[in-house]
Amino acid sequence: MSLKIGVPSKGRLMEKTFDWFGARGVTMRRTGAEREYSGAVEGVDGVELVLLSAGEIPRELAAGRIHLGVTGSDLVRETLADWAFDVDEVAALGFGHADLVLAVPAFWVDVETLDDLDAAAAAFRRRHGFRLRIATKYHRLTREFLRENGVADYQLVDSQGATEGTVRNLTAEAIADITSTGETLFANHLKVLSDGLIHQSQAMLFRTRQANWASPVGATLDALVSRLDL
Amino acid sequence: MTHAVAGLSTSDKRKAALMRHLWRPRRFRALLDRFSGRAAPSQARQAMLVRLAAGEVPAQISAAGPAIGLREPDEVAERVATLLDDAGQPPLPAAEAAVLDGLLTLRDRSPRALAALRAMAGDLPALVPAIDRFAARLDALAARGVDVDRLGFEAAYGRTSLEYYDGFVFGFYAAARPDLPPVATGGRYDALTAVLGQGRSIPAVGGVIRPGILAALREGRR
Repeated sequence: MSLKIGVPSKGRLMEKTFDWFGARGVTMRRTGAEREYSGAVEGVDGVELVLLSAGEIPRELAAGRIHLGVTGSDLVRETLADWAFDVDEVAALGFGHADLVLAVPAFWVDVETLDDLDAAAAAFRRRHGFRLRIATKYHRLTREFLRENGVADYQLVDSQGATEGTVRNLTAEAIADITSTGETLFANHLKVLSDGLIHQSQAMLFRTRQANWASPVGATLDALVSRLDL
Repeated sequence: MTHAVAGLSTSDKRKAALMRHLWRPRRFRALLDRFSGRAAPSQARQAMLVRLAAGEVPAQISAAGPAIGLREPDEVAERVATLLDDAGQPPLPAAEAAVLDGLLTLRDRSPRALAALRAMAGDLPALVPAIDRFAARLDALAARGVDVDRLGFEAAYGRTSLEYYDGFVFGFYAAARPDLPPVATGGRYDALTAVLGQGRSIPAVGGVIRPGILAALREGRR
């Protein structure tokens, strides 16, 4: 049985992952036709490359269907209810940096901190008769963050894309979204709260805790880890 | 706790803010520290207050960006006024803040807890009616044969788990199994009926017995 490693199937995340492994003497490449999702690993015997959507890698790790996987730390924390129970972080790969932040309209000059957001949410609910809406696709991370910080009188509304536009479109009053430079937020007249950093994400190599690590897979892992100098 | 907050010598807005976060210990503590001047506001907060006090508020709002979303500029201006007013409020007296600290950590056998509460009421007389009710409740329990001298009391009992209860709350524990969650919990929730009744209210008391734990205890006895 080979050790299965899940890697994002396209785009910059895939290229950067291939570069990261390549720089450490493990060559990954796609095989077959241009659009065919198959790949190969050279440099360590017994490793099988599984090309997957980055969003599905956390789930596959938690199910133990792949042994290792590369994906964003935000996706693992968002997708898995108790991520530390299902997976271990093996290495931070140093790319794919993005911050999950809470942002509100820039003209809210009375709101700079979570403390202010909480008070504004209470006043909003009194005036409008419903809870202040925060648009996000990161429900779990946002809810946990707000609960830890004791923010009340809000509701999360789902937004799978163009989240920065939801305030202008009157479907939300605030947002929790991924940003790397803040330019899209600025262009949409939003500002980040001073203490509104929910999670600093980056690409990581994860190891499942749910698979059978008996040899030969265990031995292959040892060989891979020593090859990668981890 | 509600009597203590209602009896503080501070603005109604500050009392309302504390009351709203009675069930969120971390935010309650942060508010208490801020209102009593024990903790300085964060740098971002402080810079904002300086900025807001410095110039015309409507001009600041329109200069900061277009008014997008359902929350209107006048709501922002209203809260700015609240913030500036609050910044000018004198700090909560240290003795009253100390009473709240004491309440949050009070945990003792009932007679000793009652004595501690009576001592606290010296600094916060608003506590007296609630303490009198507690004393009457202990007498009533004793009259029904409950050994109140050994009955535990926590002023902040269930503060993170029994959210809609707003008066007397209780929990029953298996003496032989302190590792288990309470077998039964409950209490008064008069405020809930007042909210649901939109002005009308009825006294409400209720509780829950956890059948799983009860069954586990019976199994253990066999």
